[in-house]
Amino acid sequence: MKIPGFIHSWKQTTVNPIPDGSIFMVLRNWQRLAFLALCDTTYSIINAPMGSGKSLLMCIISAYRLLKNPSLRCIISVPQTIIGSGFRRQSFKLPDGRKIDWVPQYNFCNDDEYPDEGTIQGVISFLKGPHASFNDRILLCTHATLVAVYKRLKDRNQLSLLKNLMLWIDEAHHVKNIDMDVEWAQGTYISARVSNGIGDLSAHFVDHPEMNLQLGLATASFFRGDRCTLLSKEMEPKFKRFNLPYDQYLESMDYLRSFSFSFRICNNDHSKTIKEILQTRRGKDIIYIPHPVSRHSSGCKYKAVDRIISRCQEVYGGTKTDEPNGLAVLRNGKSDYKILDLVDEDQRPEKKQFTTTINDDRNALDLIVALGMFKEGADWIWADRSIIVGPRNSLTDMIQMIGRLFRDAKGKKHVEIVVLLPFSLEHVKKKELRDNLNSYLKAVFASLLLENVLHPVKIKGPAPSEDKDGKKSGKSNESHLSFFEYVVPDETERLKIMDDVKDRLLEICVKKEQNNELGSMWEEGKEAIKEVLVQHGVKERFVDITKHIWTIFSRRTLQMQGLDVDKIDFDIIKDINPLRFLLEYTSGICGIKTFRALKLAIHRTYIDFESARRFVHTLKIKSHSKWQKWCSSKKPDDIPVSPDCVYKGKGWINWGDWFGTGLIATNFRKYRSFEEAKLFVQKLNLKSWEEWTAYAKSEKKPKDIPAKPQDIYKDQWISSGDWTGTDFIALYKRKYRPYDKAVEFVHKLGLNNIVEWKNYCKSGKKPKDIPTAPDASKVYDGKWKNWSEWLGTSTTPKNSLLPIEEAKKFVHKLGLKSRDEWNKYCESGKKPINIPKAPQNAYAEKGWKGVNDWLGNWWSKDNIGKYRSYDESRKILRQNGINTERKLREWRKKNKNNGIPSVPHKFYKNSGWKSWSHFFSISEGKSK
Amino acid sequence: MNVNQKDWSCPKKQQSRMDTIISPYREHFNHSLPKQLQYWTLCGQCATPEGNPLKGCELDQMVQEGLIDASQFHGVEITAEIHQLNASAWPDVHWHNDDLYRAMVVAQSKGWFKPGIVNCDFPKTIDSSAASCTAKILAMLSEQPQDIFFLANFIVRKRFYTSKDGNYIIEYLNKFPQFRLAFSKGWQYDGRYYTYNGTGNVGSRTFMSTFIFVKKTIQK
Repeated sequence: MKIPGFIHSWKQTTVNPIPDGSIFMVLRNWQRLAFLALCDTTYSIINAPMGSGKSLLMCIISAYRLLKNPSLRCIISVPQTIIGSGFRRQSFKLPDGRKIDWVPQYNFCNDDEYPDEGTIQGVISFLKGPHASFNDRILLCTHATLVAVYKRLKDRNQLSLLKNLMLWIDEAHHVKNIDMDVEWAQGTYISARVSNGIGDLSAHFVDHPEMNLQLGLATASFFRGDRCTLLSKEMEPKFKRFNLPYDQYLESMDYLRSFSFSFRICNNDHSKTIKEILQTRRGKDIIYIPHPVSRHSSGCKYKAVDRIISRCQEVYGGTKTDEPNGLAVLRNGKSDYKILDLVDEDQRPEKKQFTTTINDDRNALDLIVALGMFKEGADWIWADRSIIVGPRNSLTDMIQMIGRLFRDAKGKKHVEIVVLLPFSLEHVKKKELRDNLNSYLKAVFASLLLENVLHPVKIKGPAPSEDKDGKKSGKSNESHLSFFEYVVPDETERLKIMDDVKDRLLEICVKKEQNNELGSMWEEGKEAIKEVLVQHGVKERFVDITKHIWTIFSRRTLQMQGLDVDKIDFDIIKDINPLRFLLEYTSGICGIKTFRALKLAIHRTYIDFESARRFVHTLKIKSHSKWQKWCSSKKPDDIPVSPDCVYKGKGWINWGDWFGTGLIATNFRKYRSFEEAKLFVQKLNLKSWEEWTAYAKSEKKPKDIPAKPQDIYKDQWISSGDWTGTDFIALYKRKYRPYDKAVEFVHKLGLNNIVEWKNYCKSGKKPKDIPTAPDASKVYDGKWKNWSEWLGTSTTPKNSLLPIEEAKKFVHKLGLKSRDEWNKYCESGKKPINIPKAPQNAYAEKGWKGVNDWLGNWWSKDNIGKYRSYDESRKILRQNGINTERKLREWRKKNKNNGIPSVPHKFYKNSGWKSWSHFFSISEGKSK
Repeated sequence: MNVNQKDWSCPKKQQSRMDTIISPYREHFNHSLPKQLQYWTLCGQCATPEGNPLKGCELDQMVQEGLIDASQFHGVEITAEIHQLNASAWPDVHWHNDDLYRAMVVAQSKGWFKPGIVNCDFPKTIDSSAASCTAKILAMLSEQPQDIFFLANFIVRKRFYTSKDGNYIIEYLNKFPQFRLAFSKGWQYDGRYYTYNGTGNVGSRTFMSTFIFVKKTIQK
């Protein structure tokens, strides 16, 4: 067969498909224990260090549950797409020996697998089902996608799609659910749960067990770093938690044996100190530079990276070349030094691609410079030193950064974390010096907590045991335990306690110094810690927890004396001043040698609450953002930035009270009941929703009536018309009489055409359940036929149309000149029903020749380019009273397509032209 | 909605179907598809705009050539108008108004999914969602016990798109774990690919390439 223009050929490929040689992983010891603990729980928490194998454990638990329940589906949500790669492909054996090939069919974390319909709709389609294979029941997506899906389902009342679903939230420290007691009226407090998007979703899962919803949270640190909790008090008891402490994890490693955490003081040019560190040994480094807005930054992130690369050049030599894969390589002829700059946005896709290969070869990379990137989920197993420039406020952030090092790799025995603390005594102002010292000590203090996370203090004592129901029993065993963690399982709360203890211990140190009492401060410290514990609601094991906290504080002081806290009896520890190390650190940098001087140097003193509030009222600040702006520029030293913390229990009510606006945050306002509020609004006699919004914006609206009632009363909300009392209902929400009954009603009215129907609608007699526009979409979809049937006229309008010639005769008489004039005529209501409004459609195949032909204008389709005959032109001019050339010109301008030539004396020269007088039918000055 | 966007009955398309489906299937398996197995395809339009059967369309050609019976044919089309047109022209054939993967998932969930030939004629380049769809379908088909003949057809050359060859396509597919999983479950690549210049009765600047994959329960 010869096919024109057809080229076809068979070709051979040299590349072949790669079958995955599956090696089925088996559970490590801790994973096996975690599996046994969590495999059948509805709500689970996996709290294990970075790199310990949480992802695999989540896959294994999911696989077990999916096989057990064929109707169950699984969604794994990660904060960034790159983290999703850990769930993309796994081969493992379940504890019962079943082999599983885990390859989710829906991986929305991979650019190449985004669905055509978009990720949000893709997840919704997945939720709608059905599902085929095991892997067809697994979906990977980001937190952002999942939150957007939840919002969409909520908006569309489709939350019922969230059923038979197991959700894993990886890096769950992004979840926020916090109980807040807020005073909304004098003396009355309400408790409210404040959540972020992913927190709201997790709360939905906990609140709806009847939908067979299962929720799992996995994180390295079960705290957020911002003093907010992951789970509310109501939610937390429903979860079963498996915790793998860092020390246990480190013990299980094959190669990594030790880690060190140290500080280096530097001036604002931290690159010099980095150079000194790099000179100590050539390692695999990650350098985290501070954010440009941080006061520890030079202000330009690119320059900061350039300086670091220059320092590397000074240490390792070589000429810098930029590679196509995004690397900067220092070529020195021997061993090239390879730098990956993740701060510079150039070649981001190439760099991202390169990071997927860095674990394959130890020599692939020597240094990563990062700012906000390469934290959670990022993986470079060869990294053995982390240099963090500037302190970080968030402990979670710190843990994520140093977590990159805790990956086991052949030959990696020791990892090193160095925090560079820019500190300068050159500050002239006391405030700047204090801020500087404060942030320095804050970082030192944070290191204590961090160390306790990595290597928890354990106190020997009677351990509480649990009975079968999980409740604590009176029986006890002698064991090394972290009592603090046992009694206060919430990390956020533990951090708050530690922070408060630090302040109390510092006060005690100062007091003892003033009284020249240089002995042990254990007795006072013990009482102070107990008081703090009571304030935080701790009711038991005060002695054990006090010992625990005391040891955490003392560890650094002991380390300075070359002592290991694990090997010392508590009787010795209790005689040590737990804050001594702070003096040691500060004496080196600014010569502070007494606690009194230390406290004076770092502690602010604020004016009393009443005076501060009076002062703030004079500022007329109305919002929190404006308050922060004012604080950053004009705030005096004796007014706190965070009055809610400083004046807590000393008169603090709320921000509205502080600013003098009396406003209460939207979340915490209490409103009248829906019925009461509606009654109030209806008495206002508002005519429309627009009038309501104008009223809501005015100062007349009482504070206990919401401006957006549709949000506040969403469960009871009916419509805006119901709220204002006008009974107006949005078109798409109206409920109309069934079509047949509506038609029956309309027929009885005896209307003849649409004009009469419209007039009837305007008359106000029309019942509300009869639509004004029954032909509109969504009103009678699928049932609507035509107006003739609706009105009950005997024939359909189409059949009753006049023939085109008759219709044209009628229209010509109207003398209309243009389409606009015709439209106006149609709208006037004078048009007979048997003449169509759109003749081009009605007569499309019945002789339609265009608008001019329809209106009777000369230049219709038949007459294009033609002019009227001499006599015909004369007749037209006569009819229109045109008897001069000027009148003719003006008339032609107004009447296009008239068929009369602009130069008739030339055009009719050979076809009847006599004279202008004859043409205008003028005889001796008179018109004929 | 223009329901006559392409002429899927043009001689080029028919020739390519003969070369890539009918002949290779007979090479690898049998003269005809066993009666209990199904022929699944992204068929496009198989009817005239008036709703009459289109001579030379995929369904017509496969039946005329004796590869299948019309009852074995499962045509999938995502555009509702074209699906309706197909259904009205060929009322006794199985038609699915969905994307190919979803349609097969629905069939599998209902328990009557028995594919013998699956033809994924993507009007897309490999760099779009065609690759992931191919990988997903292959992974899903891996769980079927019977012999399956699978074709994937991609655009390899068009305006404003750098031409790609077969090596690029296979390398690209190799990136997908679903694809690699399928190949560890018994799928084989034919080793060759068929390239032709699009559809229509005149020369076309769009080039397509067809890749053949087979899963055989018993090696022939």
